[in-house]
Amino acid sequence: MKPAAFDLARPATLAEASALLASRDGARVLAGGQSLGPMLNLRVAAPGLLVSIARLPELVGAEETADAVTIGAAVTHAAIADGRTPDIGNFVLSSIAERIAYRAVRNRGTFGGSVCHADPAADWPCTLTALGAVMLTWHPDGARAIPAEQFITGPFTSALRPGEILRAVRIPKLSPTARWGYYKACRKPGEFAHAMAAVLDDPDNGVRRIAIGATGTRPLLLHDPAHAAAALAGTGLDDIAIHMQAVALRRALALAAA
Amino acid sequence: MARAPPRPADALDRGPARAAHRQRQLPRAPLRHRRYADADGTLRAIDCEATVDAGAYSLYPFSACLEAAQVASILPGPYRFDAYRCITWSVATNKPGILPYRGVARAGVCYAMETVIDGIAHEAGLEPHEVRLRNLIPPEAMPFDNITSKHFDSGDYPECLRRAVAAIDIPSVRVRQAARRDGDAYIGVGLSIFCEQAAHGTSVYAGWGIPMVPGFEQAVARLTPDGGLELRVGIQSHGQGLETTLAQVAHEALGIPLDRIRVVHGDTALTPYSTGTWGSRCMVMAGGAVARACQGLGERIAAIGAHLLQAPVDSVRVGNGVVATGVASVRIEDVARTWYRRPQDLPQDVAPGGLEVTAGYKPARDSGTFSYAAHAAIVSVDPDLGDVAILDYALCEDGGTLINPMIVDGQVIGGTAQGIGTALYEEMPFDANGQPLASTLADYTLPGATEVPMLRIDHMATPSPYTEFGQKGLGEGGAIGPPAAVANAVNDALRPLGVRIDALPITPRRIVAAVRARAP
Repeated sequence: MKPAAFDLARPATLAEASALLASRDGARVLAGGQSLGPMLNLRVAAPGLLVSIARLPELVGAEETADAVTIGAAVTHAAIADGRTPDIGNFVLSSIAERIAYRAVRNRGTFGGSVCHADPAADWPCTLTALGAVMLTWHPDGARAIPAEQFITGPFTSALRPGEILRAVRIPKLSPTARWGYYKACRKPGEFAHAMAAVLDDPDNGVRRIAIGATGTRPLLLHDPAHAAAALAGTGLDDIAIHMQAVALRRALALAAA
Repeated sequence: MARAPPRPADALDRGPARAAHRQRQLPRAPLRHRRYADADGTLRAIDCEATVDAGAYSLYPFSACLEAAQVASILPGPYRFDAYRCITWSVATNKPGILPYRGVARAGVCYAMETVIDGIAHEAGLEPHEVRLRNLIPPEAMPFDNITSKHFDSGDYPECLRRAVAAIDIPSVRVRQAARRDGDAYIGVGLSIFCEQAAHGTSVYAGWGIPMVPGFEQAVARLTPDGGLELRVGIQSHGQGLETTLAQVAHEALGIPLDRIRVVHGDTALTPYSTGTWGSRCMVMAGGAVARACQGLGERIAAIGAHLLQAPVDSVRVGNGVVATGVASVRIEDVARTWYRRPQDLPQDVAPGGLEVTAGYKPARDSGTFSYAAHAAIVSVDPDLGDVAILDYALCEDGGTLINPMIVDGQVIGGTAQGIGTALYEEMPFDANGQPLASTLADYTLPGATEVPMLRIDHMATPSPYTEFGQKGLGEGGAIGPPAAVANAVNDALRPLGVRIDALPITPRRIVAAVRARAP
């Protein structure tokens, strides 16, 4: 199928992009288009205006400080997978990125686009929740720093307000003794996962975070795996899906302990 | 070991038939089969009742009953046994009508029969290949009329199976299974063997009573003034490489170089009438027609060449691009140029019919060629998440005389990839109201490069006694074997858990559901 007719704008600055987004009901951000494109073609989404932000210079950088890495929202998965952005330690970010979909999608799909799209089965919403990432947004009325678990509010919904744009994501660096495990179950490489779990165990930083994704809604954030069964029971998933999630969590924990 | 009570089996209903043919089977369609076998694994009888969900319409020309009729006639496959009953039903529903798909009914039938054979083997305490070897039609029985009057033209089915078994190394699987410890993968080995009737003609389809019965297949062979050859055929090449293989056939007859041969197809304004490309018939039917047309053209070329050589026509022969007698020869190019452009050099009455020959072809017997193959797969199954990985896949195929082995391999590889899709991925589900639930490729999982293993392909080449070169149709076979081989391998792997999967595709959810249902 082909998408319904839409207007396309290519603003030069974040401020211009924000103004365009606020100018029309149903205006949407277009970044890499790897999720939005198919949705347009299937006419699941039919926005009247797309505001392309993939080339905004404010969104494509990455920087490193003593305790965190900040990656621009329009950086591609491929750039992260290829190590062209700083890592938080142990190649965690590149190992997540290199298993997102397949190379053609990674070449165009963006880090921030995946977070804002908030597909429950996508890799970044789950892993960034476990990593304690903070979403840095831009709006003419003021920037915000929103923890990942508050940023994604439900399936395909985020805490972004009209005209607000995700600028970058700040991810705390891991301590040298940190343990990380991430496991996802998919029908085949490149398919969306049907079960996924990410585990960060970083006692030197006083952090133990577990995220379970692909639940059909926002990632579940836990601090103790013993609470997983109760949390999963509240998702509305059926017994088989809950079983698979429990297996994915067990394997993520094992990877973190390995 | 008579199987007394009828056992409900999903073998023919929910799984393979639907997945293999995009056919809409009734959920829980009543299919029951009973099998009777001796304690030594000798198959005695099959009693089957199968129901096909044919959708809302009867589709031209095959009607709403093709699939059901095929099930009854081909279920016995390459096995010999004494008694058989198969009752089939074609049921009208509010779903789309069904049409033939690669390996019409065969993938489902092969799945049903081959899982039955594995059941017999398990109960008899024999290796599955031993039970198959005991029951396959032996080579000395060829040609063989089976219990549904299918006429098997030629072949050595036991040898085909032995080769696939030798390639897959079953003993090492048994050793690994016996030595399995907690935490190790569950691995299993599965086999399938099947036959593929192809290029069957007038007598078969007239018997069905359908409104389109194929007869002679025609081809035109046309020598061009520059000495090139143009072939015109009514079949369509949509990836089968018929442009290459038909040119090879013509080259065999006339010796005109392949790069001077053009195959025209796919345009009914330019080509002879044909029922087209279907039923794995092209290499037998159009291949035969091209051979006959080229032979006819060769006679006319010989007549002209004989004049140019000043030799009696019965002393010349056509081949290698020349007309020759003794050590003297004239090039076919010169024959063409003379007849078209310098006719004054020839007597008035040479080749008055021209250098375009249309010929029709039917095999010596039109009951079809029987190609066949044995597939063997080793899989690893993760019972916790239901993932299946194919660790090794070997197969032995007998397509009669192979016109082009590389193209045959392509057909086998593509078909096997498709069959792996049927086994593990592809599904066309409907909701309770008949609404399709996989209406785009976003909801329909296909195997890709990462899901199709390197296939190890062995060939036998038992000629058909009835076709022009002994060739057999084999375009569909690759898709027929994998569902049964993969399913048998998965069930072999899961046997220690007391789990059996009896529906296709074998999805993670189906495996996990079966394992959980069995778990204490």
